[in-house]
Amino acid sequence: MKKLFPFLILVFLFNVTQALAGGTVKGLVTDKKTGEPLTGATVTLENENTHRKISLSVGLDGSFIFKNVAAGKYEIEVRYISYHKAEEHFTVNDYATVNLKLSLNAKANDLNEVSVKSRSSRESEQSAKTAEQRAPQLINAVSARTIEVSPDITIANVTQRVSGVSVERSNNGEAQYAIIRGMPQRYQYTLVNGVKIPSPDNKNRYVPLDIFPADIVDRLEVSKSLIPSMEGDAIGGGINLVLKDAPEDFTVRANIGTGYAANLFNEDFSKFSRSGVANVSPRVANGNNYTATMANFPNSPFHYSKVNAPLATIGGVTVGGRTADKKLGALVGFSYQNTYRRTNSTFFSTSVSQVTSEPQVTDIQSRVYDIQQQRIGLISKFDYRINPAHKLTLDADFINLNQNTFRFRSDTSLDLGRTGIGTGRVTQQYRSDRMIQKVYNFNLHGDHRVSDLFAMNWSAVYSKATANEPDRAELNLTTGRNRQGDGSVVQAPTLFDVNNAQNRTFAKNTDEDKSGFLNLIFSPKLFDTPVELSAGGMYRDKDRHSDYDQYAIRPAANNTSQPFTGNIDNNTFEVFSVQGTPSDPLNYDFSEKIASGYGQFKFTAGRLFAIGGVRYEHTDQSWVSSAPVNVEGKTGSIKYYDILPSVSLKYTLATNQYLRASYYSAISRPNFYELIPHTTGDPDADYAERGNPFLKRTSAENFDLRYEFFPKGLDQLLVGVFYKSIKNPVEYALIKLTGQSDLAFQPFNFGNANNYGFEFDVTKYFKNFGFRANYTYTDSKITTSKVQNYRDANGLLTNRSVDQTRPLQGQSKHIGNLSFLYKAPKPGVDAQVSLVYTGPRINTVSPFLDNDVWQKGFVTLDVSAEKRIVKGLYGYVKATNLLNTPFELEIRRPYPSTGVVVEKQVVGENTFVRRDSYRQYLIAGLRYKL
Amino acid sequence: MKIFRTFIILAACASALSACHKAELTEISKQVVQAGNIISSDTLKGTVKGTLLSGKTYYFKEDVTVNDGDTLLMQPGSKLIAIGDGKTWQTSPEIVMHGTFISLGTKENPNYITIKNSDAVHAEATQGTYTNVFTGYWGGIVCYPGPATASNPNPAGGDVIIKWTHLEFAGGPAGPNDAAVYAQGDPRYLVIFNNIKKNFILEDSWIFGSKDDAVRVTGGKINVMRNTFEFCGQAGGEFFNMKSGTVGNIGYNLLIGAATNALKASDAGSSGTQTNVAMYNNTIINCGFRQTKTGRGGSINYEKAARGQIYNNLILNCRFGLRLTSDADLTNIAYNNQLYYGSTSGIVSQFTAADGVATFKANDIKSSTPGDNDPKFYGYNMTQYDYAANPGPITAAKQTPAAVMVGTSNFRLQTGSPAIGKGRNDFSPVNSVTSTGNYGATITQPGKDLGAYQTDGTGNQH
Repeated sequence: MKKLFPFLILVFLFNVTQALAGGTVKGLVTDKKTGEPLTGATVTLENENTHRKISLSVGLDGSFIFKNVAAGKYEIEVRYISYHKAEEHFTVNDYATVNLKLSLNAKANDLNEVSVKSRSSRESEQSAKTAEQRAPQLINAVSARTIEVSPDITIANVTQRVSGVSVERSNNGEAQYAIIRGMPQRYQYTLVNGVKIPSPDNKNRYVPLDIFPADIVDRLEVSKSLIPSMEGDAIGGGINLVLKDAPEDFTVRANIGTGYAANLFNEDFSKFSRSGVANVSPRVANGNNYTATMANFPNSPFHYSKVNAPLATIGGVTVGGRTADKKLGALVGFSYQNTYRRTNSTFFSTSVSQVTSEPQVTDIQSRVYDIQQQRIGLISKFDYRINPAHKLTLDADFINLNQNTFRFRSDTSLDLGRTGIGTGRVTQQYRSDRMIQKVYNFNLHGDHRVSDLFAMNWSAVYSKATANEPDRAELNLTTGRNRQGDGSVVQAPTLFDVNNAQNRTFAKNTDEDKSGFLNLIFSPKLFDTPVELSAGGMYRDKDRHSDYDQYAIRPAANNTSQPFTGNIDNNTFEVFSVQGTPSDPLNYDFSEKIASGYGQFKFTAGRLFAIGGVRYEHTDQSWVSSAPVNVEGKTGSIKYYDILPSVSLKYTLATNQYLRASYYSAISRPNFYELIPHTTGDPDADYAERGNPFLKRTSAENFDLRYEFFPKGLDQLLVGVFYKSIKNPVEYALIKLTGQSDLAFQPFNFGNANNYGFEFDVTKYFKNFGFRANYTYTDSKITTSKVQNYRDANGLLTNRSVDQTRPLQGQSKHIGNLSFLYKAPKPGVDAQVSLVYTGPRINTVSPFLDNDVWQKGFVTLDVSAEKRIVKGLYGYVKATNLLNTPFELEIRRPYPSTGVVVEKQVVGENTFVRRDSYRQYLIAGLRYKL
Repeated sequence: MKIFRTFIILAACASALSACHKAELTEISKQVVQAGNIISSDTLKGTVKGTLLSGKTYYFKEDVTVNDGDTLLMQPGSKLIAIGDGKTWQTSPEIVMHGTFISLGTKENPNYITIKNSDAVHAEATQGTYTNVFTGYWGGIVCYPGPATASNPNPAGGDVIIKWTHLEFAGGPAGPNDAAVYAQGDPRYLVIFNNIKKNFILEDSWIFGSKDDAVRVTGGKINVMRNTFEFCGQAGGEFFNMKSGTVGNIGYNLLIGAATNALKASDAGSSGTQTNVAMYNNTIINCGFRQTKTGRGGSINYEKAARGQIYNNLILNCRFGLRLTSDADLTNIAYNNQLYYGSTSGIVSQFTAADGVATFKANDIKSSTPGDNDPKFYGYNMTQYDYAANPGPITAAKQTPAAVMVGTSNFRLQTGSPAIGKGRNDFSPVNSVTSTGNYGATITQPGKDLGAYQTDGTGNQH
């Protein structure tokens, strides 16, 4: 960093010191109200005699400069979208410099300070920074403009550019969930326009962030502290997607592009047929007494076709504007992405030595995933300004993600049939999985200013999220290379797994939320200080319904040893579990009613700004599952309430320097899936999963202290510390089930944990260059009991419990981001290079002492660039994962010398567990703005 | 001044604010336990306890439960008939055993736990038609601790004592009622026993026609002696499968025609009690040929940290001989005095399974060429089945009745058999089970001849 700085300055100087003759006109363009620079505003300099015009765009720091301007009288005009233009007249003399300060007025007439904070184009970066600076709580914001020029196409990818945020990736290497300050997804919520969105994902309460195309948002806000008017179940913080607002002027934006995965270079992408496949399970369609036959399970998921190196389609169009009287505004955005990716993976199944608890590997697997994702986002926003004091807004959004995943897995046993390299049992699995996730969201919102003292707003929200996985079809084959008695190695024929030749699973769940919000704001003067007192409440009625069926299919009984030749149509099968799994607990209905109320005060007294108050949340959950009566937790109800105080103080140390302190109390409710006493569910889990109806909610007291310095323009320096005292965190542990020899993964509350850390965020802009850097140090500790295998005094193998202290699952000690930005207004070039470092973190908690599986620390490098082609039309390229950073897992314990000799395992080095390679992904396209 | 006042207000507010997280008020449904009803008719249903009387036949067509602390006892000469078709869990009923199960058949008056048309299925099978053998008509006996109750917070399940009893034809898909043992849709076994602190005694009985494993013990003290195991596992499955926590003896059993191994011991499951089993004087024939997966055994297997003793077994025409995997507790496995016979060179080459680490010991006897060292049974031709043409994996339909069932064969040793007098009888079996009276085990000590039948008439009495 230190070395780079002078270099940057040099480049910068080189760029600007080229003046020759004539005069110089330079200046700064800012928002009149906020004083923020208006990057991208157009400045036109017109000679009043010759009427010659020169135009340029304002730089990143809000500055502009015209050099070699012939002496004379000039008019300068500044225009910026959603702002009133500004003009100034002046005279230029040779060898003299004119310094101008131009401030623009936003067009919007603010109705209400509370609800309509920034009516201007919020997508711009400065408004994001303003949001950051002005927000009562600690937030980090990313603007639509920043997202546009960033390498990211989904919201999940964007979040990792925010300080203190790292991401958890899905199988295709795309970010899916955010981890805020080491607190994984269960500890945070996802909001759309401030309202919670239910999750189509069976295992999580809140929406996976990769479902949202990045171009539908106006701004992404990550709140790291809560205020009383916010819902209280975000210990880690909240992620709010602020969708675009209707603009003041008619606006059209469109972009079209294509993408390409380096892993598919010259490779065939596998697609599978869905012909004849039912949308729901045979049981759900025909009732619990139905007995399925092979007619219910067509062979089509195992019919494949190949496409050579398919290209992605990425497109979007947004149209918005207002009626002539400016009363009715509308904005409709449509986004479509169809991407193809491949992941190559090497994975070792592990176990531990019964004698020493050292890690052992039992299987080596290679996996290929071919993943097609089709995302559709349709967002619309309508607002009607009845009069300056009253406004109605309607959001209607629909988001759809279809994912087709083909997976081929070949697993060579290092144990069964293994007599050395190149031998052993081989099991192969073809899996065809289609998942359809949909989110609908309707939000009717009203803002009313009743008098100077009194205002109110309300929302009525209906949202629905569904996920349907109809017929996840697996074909299980077995073969092997076996050493014969005479030492030769013979390839065994490829046969079916007799118990599970095919597995066909149907999973479907629906979440429906109906919520109402009401906030009352009273703004009197107390002790000569204007104070804002607000009170409000929220009620949400959530219903979740889940269906789950699994069918095991065997090779026909009269020919259990039939070979598989590659064409499944030549084989015969019969359904073994003909009824599906009607009494699997994953067939359940869950209802959750949350009622909450809060009181909040806010005032500024001299240099001190304070906001605080208390929130009350009452939770009433109940469920009924189809489990039989002898399963504990078949039905359940849980009720509790929480009183959650919070206070945030901001103290102005000097102009543009603030000290913030905040305290808030928050909770995290267990996921519905976790409370249901299920025993099946996740096909990718290494161990069977199990629900725990006795899970308690997690609560935490959170403290933050942050110093903020905004030297000029968009530059900023944020330094902070945080501490969280967490009670009853939920972590997964492996347990032995009564009656089963296998271990199962079950969530439990684990006493208390502490999480503290340090954050640092710096942004600095020059005229054409800028950089952003942030770093977060997090340290969390939790103590859980682990199993240690050993040989006792009598020579018998046994085990004991030992306590082990470790970080929370998913928490990296070090997270860093570094971005360089380059902006050349004249050729219309924007470019960005982003580096993210995520330190090592625990991926899976092992039940055995010193056997946790860690994800290795990694660096990713992404670049993006945009260039204006003609007015309003831009070309862009984005390239992600340039360093070909893999996802790597390891057990941080030396591979024992007694272990199986196999590739990738080196005696004395950490035990290798998994490596997924995604390689680079490239996107190129055109963007149009009017 | 203003600031000062503000701070006072703030401080007051802050002190008033203290987080409160009210404890959850929960109502989680408990496992429902119904009181056991004394058996009063010939149809068992619901939760039962009591005695099945000598000479009587009882029926059940839905799941029957015996509570922790209760006992179900079958007197000599009683029959329990499962009525089912093996298609769904509702139509393949099981016995859920949280209590004690005792079946006291005798040589003269054996007991039967079977299906209504058992004679017909046996007759068909004898003719070489196996269509119904692996139908899995019922769900077997499922033994595991019952739900915890206020009076019994740590239930341990009960003993299972089965003597002179025919156990047959189970295996249909599991229902939802035994989530602790089977996931819905899993294939079931004739008996699964999961009471690590309790005894599992199976003596002088006949096990036939289980769809998958015949018996699986996932923890328990066992004595499995002098039984006949025939033709189990349609295309996979063992006669007797042991997981972590299984301690005891398996001796003098005749085991013919398992899909995979006859006997498999493993310490998988980390119960904290190491699997330790002595397997001696068993006669194991024609096992392992229906398993389609490679890397499985075909007679005796010791895997994953299991330990024990393996002596005096006849391992004859099995797809694989003794298989000790490298992760077994090798230093604590003692083995010797086996007789391995193979009628083809393929079988001969796998006497010590190629993917295992077992070796031949000094006192082992083996066919050095195919057909060499025939054990010389009274009534069994070791070369009657063409293993050269069918080296496995093969479908059941391709196996002859004589390859998978005892029928009229006789596995006693003729004079001049190389197995006579070659046994080691100076070691002690694992004495984990009480061995007194009707309700205890009768342990036959290691014998001097190899296999289940001793020339002095001891050993297997079938």
